Amino acid sequence: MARMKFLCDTERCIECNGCVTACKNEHEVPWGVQRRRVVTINDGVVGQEKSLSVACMHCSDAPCMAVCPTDCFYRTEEGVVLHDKDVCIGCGYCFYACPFGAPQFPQSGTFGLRGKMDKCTFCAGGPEEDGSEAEFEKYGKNRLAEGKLPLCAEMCSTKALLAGDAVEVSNIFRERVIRRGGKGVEAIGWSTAYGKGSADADSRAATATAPAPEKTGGAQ
Amino acid sequence: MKNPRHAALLAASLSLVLLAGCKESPQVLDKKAGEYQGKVDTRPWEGPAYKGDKATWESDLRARSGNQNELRRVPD
Repeated sequence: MARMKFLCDTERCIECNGCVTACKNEHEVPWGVQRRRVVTINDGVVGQEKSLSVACMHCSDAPCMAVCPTDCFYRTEEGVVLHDKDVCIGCGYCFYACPFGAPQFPQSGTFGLRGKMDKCTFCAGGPEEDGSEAEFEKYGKNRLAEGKLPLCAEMCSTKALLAGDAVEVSNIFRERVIRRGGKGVEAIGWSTAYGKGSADADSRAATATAPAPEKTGGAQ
Repeated sequence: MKNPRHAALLAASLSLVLLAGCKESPQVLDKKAGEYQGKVDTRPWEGPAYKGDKATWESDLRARSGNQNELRRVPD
């Protein structure tokens, strides 16, 4: 299997926010944290207005991973970028580095104390026992371990948001573009996230069997 | 304190209590720059649902990915 990717077809997104709601509900994401959101580009420009569902794209060359001072990020063998909340100090560097604004920080208390970073996990949980209460509390549900895709994509009514194996996702999008005579530029964010090549070579796996390899270096 | 033995005992125990805070334990984690510092994670197919059966997990996910294509699900 190749690696997991998200693709949002702006030609199809109708800004229904079904993906946002699905994500919120599935992972019981707290108030003030938006793992996924729908943004409008060229708002008000007739004929050019597009809606786009955005979350962590699990980039090939993830900038959050590069700037993290505590090195709490890792990439799984499937290309999903995850982090360990026990190591995160909530500094916010990843927020400034991310081109998609994916990292979120829960705020609480009178002075809006910033908590540990929270972001889309591609419904893959985190570094806790699969399906455990601790995993759900910290990272949300682990659907990938149940053989399911992220709920945002599976719930998408127009199938604008696609998730899964990069080859499958690309094939679906290619077939659509050919049918409607498009140019393929509707997949906004795809080249930003995955444009620098495959991350398969430098999979920074944090698995039970394989020790975590080097963070930097390798083909990006 | 009238009994000098008690005074000496008290002084000795006080000094022990005071010295107890003097041990310098390392305050910094053994951090190696550029390496993941968190806990190890298991692979998705190693959970209770698939019990290490990677091939089945992959085929299940591929099938689900394919199901997102309504052009293939609905015949022409």
